[in-house]
Amino acid sequence: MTTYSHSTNDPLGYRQDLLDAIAAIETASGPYQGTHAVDVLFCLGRCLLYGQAPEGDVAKRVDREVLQAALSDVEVEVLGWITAIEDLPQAWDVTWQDDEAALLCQSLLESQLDARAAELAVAQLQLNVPQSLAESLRQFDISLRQQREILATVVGSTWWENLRSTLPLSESFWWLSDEFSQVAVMVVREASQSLPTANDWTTIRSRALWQEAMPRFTGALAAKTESDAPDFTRVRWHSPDRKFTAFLMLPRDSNRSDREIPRTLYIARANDESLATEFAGQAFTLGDLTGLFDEQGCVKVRLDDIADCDGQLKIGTPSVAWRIELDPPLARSGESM
Amino acid sequence: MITHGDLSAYCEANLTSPLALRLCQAFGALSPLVLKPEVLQLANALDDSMPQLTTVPPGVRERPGGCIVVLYSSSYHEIIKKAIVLPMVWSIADDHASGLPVKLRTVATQVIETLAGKMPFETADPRQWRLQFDPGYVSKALVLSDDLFETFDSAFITLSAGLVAAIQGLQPDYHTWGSAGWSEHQGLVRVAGLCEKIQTAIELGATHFFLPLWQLDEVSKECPSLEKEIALQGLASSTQRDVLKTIEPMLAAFTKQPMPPSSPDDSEGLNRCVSYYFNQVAKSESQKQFYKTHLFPTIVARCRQRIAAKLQESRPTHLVTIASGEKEVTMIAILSSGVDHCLLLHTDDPKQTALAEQIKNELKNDQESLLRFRLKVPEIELRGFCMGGQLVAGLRDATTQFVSTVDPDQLVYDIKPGTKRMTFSIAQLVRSGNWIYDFAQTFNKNLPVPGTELPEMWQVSHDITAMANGH
Repeated sequence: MTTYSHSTNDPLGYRQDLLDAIAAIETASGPYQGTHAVDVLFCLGRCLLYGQAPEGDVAKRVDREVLQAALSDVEVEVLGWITAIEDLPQAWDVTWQDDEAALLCQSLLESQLDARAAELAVAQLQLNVPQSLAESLRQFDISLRQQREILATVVGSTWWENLRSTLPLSESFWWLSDEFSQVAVMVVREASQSLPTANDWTTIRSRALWQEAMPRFTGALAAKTESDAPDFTRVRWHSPDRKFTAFLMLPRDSNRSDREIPRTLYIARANDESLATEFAGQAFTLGDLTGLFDEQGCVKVRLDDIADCDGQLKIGTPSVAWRIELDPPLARSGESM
Repeated sequence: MITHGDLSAYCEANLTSPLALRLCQAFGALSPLVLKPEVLQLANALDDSMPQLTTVPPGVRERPGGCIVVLYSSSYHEIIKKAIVLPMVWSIADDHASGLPVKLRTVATQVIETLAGKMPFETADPRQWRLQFDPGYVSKALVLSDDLFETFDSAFITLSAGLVAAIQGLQPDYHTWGSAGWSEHQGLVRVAGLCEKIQTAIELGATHFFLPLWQLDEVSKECPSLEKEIALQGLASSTQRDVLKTIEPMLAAFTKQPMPPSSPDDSEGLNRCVSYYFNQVAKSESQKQFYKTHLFPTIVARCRQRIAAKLQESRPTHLVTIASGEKEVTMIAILSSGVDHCLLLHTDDPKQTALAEQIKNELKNDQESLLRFRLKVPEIELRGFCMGGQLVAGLRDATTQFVSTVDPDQLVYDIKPGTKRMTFSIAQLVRSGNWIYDFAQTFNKNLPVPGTELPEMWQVSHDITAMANGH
């Protein structure tokens, strides 16, 4: 088998793909020719799509009847794409990683590139397009358009921008148009209107992290066993200028007596983790708890007093909210330890 | 992962109390065993709500399958101790704990391979066992890198003793520590940082510390004061480079005395006691005492069960036996036969006479404890016999009165004790209908293996009696 050789006259390697597919069809026999014939159609179509003239006359090297017969396989492929686009909303909802969601959209739009490539190849080879294939291609385009709000999330991505600038026939794809990029702007605007405000986000985030830091309550009578090592979480709050950090170590599990133990909430300087004595006498609020830092920049708090709060630490007069974070296990400010 | 580089970042900065507390959080419950007291004090001064992390404990909590490894740290002694204690646990698992330093895992694998096939009596294969951090001290998230430690070889003997104890199901005794490497060719290998290790052991409540014998002098010179605070005990490589033989003295002190078996059927309890028995110095007073308190009553009860099953409806009431040098064998015969009366014969030799009296007295003294196992001590009558030329006649004279009023099927003759000549002679006294008692057991290291006792009792037919009498 010939491998890709991205020569200067075949920068995308599509011409070489076509030669490989033709070579494969020439060495295959019987039903296997059909599979390779589909490849020939797509490879030829991609060459045409990207404005690259295929080497030699494909029609002379490949049996026309074999290529004509392969159109039924192309139709099967298109029907698969239609199913995939119908499943897109659900698949997109359950995908929580941004890059995975983008790939979902991208692969469906690339399928439309292939659909267009197949159309160009069929026209070049002057094959007869079955009515059912034409209908499937039309249906695929309609289905794609119905999901344009989701597909619009690819607008502005490197992949989308590259395609727009390199594809000679880009104007024939509605999803590479300026109009489509306006859809993306509209989608973002509509979505942001239904989202919580920045302030709401701060509270939601703080409460979520605080709840994560809260110890699992093992019950009033549950004796702490010595079978497992005691484990502690360190909650951090950064000052707005990130020059100071407030710390509080909390046990991962607690019983009732644990909740009454005074624990130290202290402020350290970010540069050398020394105690920030400049906060001596300053006021703080943590949920309903209020007080003043001592001369060391420390204050004692009990779990019982803070367990039900939203985890928002405010320091100074007027009070300023500090941003909450949890230490990753055994990590020191992002270091490996 | 906590690495050498992580610690360097702390050492380069001025150690503040927040940094000290951060170190305590990183090492978790291992902190008091790893960090220097000054670091713990700094952390505790800032937040005293986590004494498990910031105060030195009086000792390491014991755990089944556990052992304490003490390793010499590589550097950064401003914040970490020179001798770092890692509480470990052997357990049946697929792999060693992933957080262990890689080289410590290698030593653990060497221990397993060295002990494989060498464990006496154990069906458990050391190859099923793997080394873990003690979960009471180390959370699963902790990973320690190799470069925190100078070497790992010295963990070998402690890990070996720990694995043996784990397989035997014995509870470790953390008063006993040790440090020595092992090489297949050299035997015991020299240990670094002994003074620091012994000092740490003392601080954590150790009373015994085992080390290569030839390094005892080194400790005497470098840190003589330590000898007064802990029993330093030297190990010498066995001539066959047998690691089990080499660590024998350590094994004797490495575990706690197990509880006696809860019943004659408590095989696990018996196995634990047998393992502990063989871990002790052979024929030492402590071993004898352990046998008496933990093994003998169960062994007799098991023998009694076996004999009772063989006797079915029969119930002999009288036993004739001879005081034997292996006095436990005689005592087992007396108790397991279930008789009410026993004639305990002995030669005229003063030692034999004293032995017979000792057997009688011991059984009398143990009466109460034996009753807990439903074992009744029979009425014991002592009688001497002459070892002269007419042994059969002498034995007949000695037994005539005792057997005269007993029905033949109520009488048992113990043919096990004494010399072969005694066995042959006493067999000639046996008549049709009498019972014969015999006894067998397995030996190891010249010691009978407790739990392998096989007493037998059968009733003699007319024909066998005739053969015994030479007709």
